[in-house]
Formats: sequence, structure tokens, C-alpha cells
Amino acid sequence: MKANPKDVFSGTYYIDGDVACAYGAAAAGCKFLAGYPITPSTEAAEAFAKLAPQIGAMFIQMEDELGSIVAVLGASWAGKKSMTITSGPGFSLMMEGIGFGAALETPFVIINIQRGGPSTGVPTRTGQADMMQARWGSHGDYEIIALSPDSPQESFEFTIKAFNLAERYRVPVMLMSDECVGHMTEKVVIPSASEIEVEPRRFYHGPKDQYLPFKPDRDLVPPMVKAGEGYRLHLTGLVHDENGYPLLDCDIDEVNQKSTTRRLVDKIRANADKIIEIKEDSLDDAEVVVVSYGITSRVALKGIEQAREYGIKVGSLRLVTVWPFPEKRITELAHKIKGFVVPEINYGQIVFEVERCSHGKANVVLVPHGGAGVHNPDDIFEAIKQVAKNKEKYEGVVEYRTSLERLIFG
Amino acid sequence: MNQNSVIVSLANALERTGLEKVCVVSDVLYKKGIADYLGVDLFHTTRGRTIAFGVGLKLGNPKLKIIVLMGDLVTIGGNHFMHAARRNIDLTVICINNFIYKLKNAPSVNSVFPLYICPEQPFNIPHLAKSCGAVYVARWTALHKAELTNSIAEALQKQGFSVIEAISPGEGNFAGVDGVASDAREKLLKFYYDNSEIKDTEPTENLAIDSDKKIIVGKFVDWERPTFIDLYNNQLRHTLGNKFVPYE
Repeated sequence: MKANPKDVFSGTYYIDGDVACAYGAAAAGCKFLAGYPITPSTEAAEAFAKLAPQIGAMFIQMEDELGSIVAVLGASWAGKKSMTITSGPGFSLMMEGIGFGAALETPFVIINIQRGGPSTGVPTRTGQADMMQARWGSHGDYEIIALSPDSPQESFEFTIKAFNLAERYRVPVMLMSDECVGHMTEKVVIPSASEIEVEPRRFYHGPKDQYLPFKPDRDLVPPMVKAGEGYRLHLTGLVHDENGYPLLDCDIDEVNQKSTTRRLVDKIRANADKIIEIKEDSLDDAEVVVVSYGITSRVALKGIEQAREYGIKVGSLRLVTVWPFPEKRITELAHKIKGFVVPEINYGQIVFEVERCSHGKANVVLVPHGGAGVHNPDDIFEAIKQVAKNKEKYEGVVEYRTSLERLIFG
Repeated sequence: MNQNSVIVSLANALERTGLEKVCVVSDVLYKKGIADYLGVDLFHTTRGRTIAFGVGLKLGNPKLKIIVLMGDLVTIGGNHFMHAARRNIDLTVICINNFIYKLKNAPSVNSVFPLYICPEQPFNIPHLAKSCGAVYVARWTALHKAELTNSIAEALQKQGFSVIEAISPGEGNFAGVDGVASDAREKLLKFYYDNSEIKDTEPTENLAIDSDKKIIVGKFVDWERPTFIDLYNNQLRHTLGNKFVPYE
């Protein structure tokens, strides 16, 4: 389905990544945003709040992030494409609602403009340290999808992609942007509505009395209905069967047999190949591969360029979808190359996924960064050089000491 | 099922008002089939998030009528209660008071220590609701069946944040507890009823429940003010003029 022309503000803009997210959400058909302002994500909510009354949408500043995420779930069940926008501390508060949303198979989007550091961290500076939280933050078994843009243009495009994936798989989708991309002002081209593909909600069309809210049709995903349409829904965050009824009085075999939890995981794992998107560059004859995402992939470009000038065959693998992780591709590459270099603005998160998937076949070097800024490209170049020169096989992940760290810690 | 008599009153009120497109949001578990029995969609949320979920449903589709069943006396999620009332979001909140906190002379029904008395002071719910801006506030015990049904029906027909405090013992607390008679629930229901007094005009600040006073029941607040959606649409229509697309 094409986007509704009324929702698309076509044109060429000079805007930051946060604002681009708001335009993307509008184009994707988002009609409800509940959020609580938090640096560095506030501009995105503010921009959507300005667009909302022009496209028949609503922005509400809720009392807190706990309320925001749950209101988003409510609005999604009421039939609106919904999202919330936040940063680290708010993201932590939303974990309860993310699990609840995943359990009820509710389509919604969370935009997380990451800041640096734990707790209140560095509100006005960048970080990429929420990546594992995005994947594992709420308790129990469930799967999510996470995307990572590296520019305002991608912030626009990936927000649309996030809504499409959320509707297709009835799953929470997280746009894991960061302060750098969020506050970076660049040219953004918003195409005409006819060029924007939008996934409609998968509504149920059969007889009312035969509707089972959690009975999957294609791709292991169940069709959805709107609240208040007479389907007599009984939805619960408790482990439930296809009817939505909780499995409390059943014996253990019956719980395992009837529970939908397995499918929450399977619907993403089984469709991983369709969901995963990566951007590859010169991987065919590479001896070193830089795996990166978000703003770091742009910083890495310089390091890669330096390494190529130096004569190293270095390829780049950029994660567009960070979750689900492109396990197969990493394993495939691990058999062919000397090693991976993984720069990220944290002290090691995605690098452990790369190590897990390389099965000891290739060295894995982490180029860490504590946040509040981006890497010095020289460090990425040095790490590439180190991997290219090295002849021995390391055990586990090796951490590259950046020039800054050497300066501080000797 | 926790609160039979309140549910019966709710069912009667729903039947009387004949409302369609009704959703019930609750954070306690109800039996399978309750959605069919009431003829509604039922959402069982994480605890304390009922009002926030209700806000989402209502704003997601303003044509819906949302009933929130909450317990725990505005503790977990209390913030959502205050702000939904302040914004006057059209929700009917039935707050079931089973004396998780303090009622000295009655057999205690604290859910954690069933035979002890909780020393904490509970909220004066009608006063809290009124201060936060609720447009309809009433309190009844579960045995005031006709009055409770009336109040729920009235609240459902109002536009705005309505609160009904229903005083009712929690059935579940008594199951299998030594020293509690099997008819304790019935005795408690009667105890609440006998110790109550109807006073519609009582100022809400006098409505705190205490052991040496009667429980004052009645309808305390009933007035009108614009709902959140009205204000949103009016304000933005005023600001944006022709460019405004009404939210519905």
C-alpha cells in the first residue's frame, strides 16, 4: 500500500535526525504519539506535535514514560499506528510496557535517541550502549526488531521501515538512533507519497465468533482486530493460549503446548532472513571486516579509507537491522577472513554477538568508546592494521586500547 | 474472580445504558468468559497501568467507552490516576476498596498479612479524585446494589473522568486462611453496609474512612468541564485555522 499523500510532507529539507524521525512517522501513517520529553529526543516529539494537528494525529505528553508506553499500547489496540520517543532513562522505564506489548503482540514503534553513560548519563552527548537493553531489557522470552540509522535521511526512511515491520510482525520495533544522528543537520529528501510503501495493519476479516486473537495465519503472525468492535477480546499479559485466556490452572505440559510464548520468539527467528538488512562493501576479497552500526559506521568510513590507502583489504558490514542479528552472514565471513573490527560507542555489546557468530574462526577486536563523543577514525584504522598484521589466533574478544585511553590510563 | 457484587452492578449498569463499544481495563485477573458476560473487550494489563492503557484506548479511538477497574487504592500507578483526572480524559474508574490499608475494627483483609492490621493511613479517594478534577465522584459499599448500579450508569453517561469507590471485601483473601470463618466475606459485606451512612452533600475532605466513624457513602461530585479531546481540538483549531485536521 502507498502512503497517504496527506501524511507526506514531500520536499527537500535541511533538518536534524530527530525531526526527520517525526516526518518519517507521519509518512508511515502514525496517528498517536505519547511521550515524555527527554534530551536528546525531545526535538523529535516536538516536531511530531507540530505535524500532528495537520494530519489528524495526536501528541500527548504523558505524566511519565511508564504511562507513555502503555498509552501507546492502548492506542495501538484502538486501531491507531502508535509510537513513543525517548532516551536511555526513559527507555529503562519503558521496559515493563515493552514486555507487555510483545506479549500482546502489539505493533508499535519506540524511537530511542541514545545518550552516553549509565543512569542519567550524559544527556546532551551520544552513546550506543542501549543495544543489549533493546534486545533483552524486559523480563521473559520475547523478540523485538531494532534498526539503527546513521543519518537524518535514514532516520526518516528507517522510521517508516520500523512502522512497516511492526505492523507486519505485530512486534515492538525500536529505532536505535543516537544523539549524534539525532542532532546532526543534513539534507533530507522526502519523496512523494506514491514512492513510499506503507504496510497496512493485518486486520481479521472472518466471522466474528470464530476470531482467535492469537491464532497465527501467515508468517506465524495472527491477524488483529480493533478494540470495541464486538469481538469480546480477553487479552492479558499472563501467558495465554490462542483465545487470549491465561494458562493458570493448567498442568505444565498443557501450558507448554498451548502457550503463545514460543511463537513470540519463533515469529521473528523464522522470518529473520526476510527482516535482516545489512549494507556490505567490498566483502568479496576482504581480509578484515569492520562491523558497525549507527553513527559509528560513518566514523568508520574514514578509518576504512585510511586502511585501504595503506594497502589492507578491508570490507565493511553495516547493520541496518541490529536485531535480529545477521548470524549467518557473520559466520560465513568468519571462515574467510582474518578478523573483525567492531567499533561501538560502549564497552562491548554487539562485538560479543560477532564473536559468538564467528565460532572462533576469526579474530574479533573491539574498538570501545565510553560515550559523549565518537571514535577517532585513527583508532579504527590502527585496529584494522593490528588485525591485518596479526598472525596468531586470539581467544575471545580482544579490546583495542584507543589513543585516548592510552593517554588517560597509560 | 475478586469482586462479584461490583461486577454484577457493572453488568446491570451496562445493560441499562445500552452502551456499545465498551472496553474494560483491569490489572486483576478475571475469569475466562467475563468479557462475554459483560459484552465488552477486556484488557488485563500489568499492575497499576490500567488508567494509562485506558487513556491510550480512549485517545486511540474517542468513540470507545472505557471502564477501568482498579484496586490497591491508587498506589501503583497513582500518578496515572491524578493526571488522567487533571486532563479530564473520559474514563469511568471503579476503584475497589478492599481495605488493603487500615480498618481497625473490621477483620483485616490485608492481602499480604491477612490476620494483621495494616497501620497505614489510606487515601481519601473521593477527596483525591475531586482535587485532581474528576467530574463525577461517588462511593458505595457493594451491598448498596441499586445505588452502585445507578452511579456506574450515571458515570458511564458522563463525558469525563468519573470515579466510583466501591467498598467490597476481596474474596480471594479468605480462601484457606486459618482462623477466618468461611462466611467472613458475607459478614464483612454486611459490616460495611451496617456501618455506612448516606450523605450526598458531605464535603469530600470529611470522607476519610476511620474506625471510629461511619463510612460515609453517596454521590459527592457531579459537574461538567471540557474533556481532553475537546480541549485539544478546540485549541488547535483556534491556532491552526484551516490547516487543522480534527482528531477522531
